[in-house]
Amino acid sequence: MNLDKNRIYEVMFILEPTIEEDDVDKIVGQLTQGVIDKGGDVAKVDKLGRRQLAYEIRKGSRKYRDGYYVLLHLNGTGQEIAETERRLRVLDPVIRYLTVRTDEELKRAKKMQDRRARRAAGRAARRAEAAAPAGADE
Amino acid sequence: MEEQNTRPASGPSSSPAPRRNSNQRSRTSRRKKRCPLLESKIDYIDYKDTRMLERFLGDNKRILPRRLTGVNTTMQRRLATAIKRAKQIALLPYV
Repeated sequence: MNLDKNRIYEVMFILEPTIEEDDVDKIVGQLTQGVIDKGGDVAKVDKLGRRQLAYEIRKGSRKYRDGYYVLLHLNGTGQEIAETERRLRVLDPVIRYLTVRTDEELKRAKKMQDRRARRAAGRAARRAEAAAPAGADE
Repeated sequence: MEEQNTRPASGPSSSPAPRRNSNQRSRTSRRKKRCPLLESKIDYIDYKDTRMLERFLGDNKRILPRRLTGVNTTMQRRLATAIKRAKQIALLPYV
């Protein structure tokens, strides 16, 4: 198993809309601690705040029309994801969560961007060459 | 790449060949569609970007086929994944 600490994940989860700001921080703190214990780190915490859900979610006997979205950016090996998801399953105010591994996609996007930049540079160079007549050398 | 993309437009698919006896649509001059994602230079399709993803959903919130949107194959695949993720986390509706 590849245990290089170079994976990037995004963990998004939805909390009950009625949750207090302090409780959000507490949950984020717990998750962060869990990630650190497993050897990963939390690069960024985005509290996206309350947002209407695109559809009604039923959890137990409760129905939710909106929720409090939180997004964590994690770096690590993958071990901490198992831990984070386990905690998210257990935590009561969590309505839903989603983990996405993004490093490979980002790498691909970076490659595309670089290629585009290189092409643009090449085009500019060619245009400059075409604009300057052949006699006007340096 | 760019040069290649323009080639099929002048190819047999859109040229008004007189012996083509297919449906009505092929008679009207059909222009080769360009991939809207490449045009707008989107390299990373983010499932959180619902504004962008919504453009590729029909009225019934289903993913539109490539034939209508002109997205290229690779991007359509990633687009589909992103839309499905957005639906899972209730950023986009299922129906």
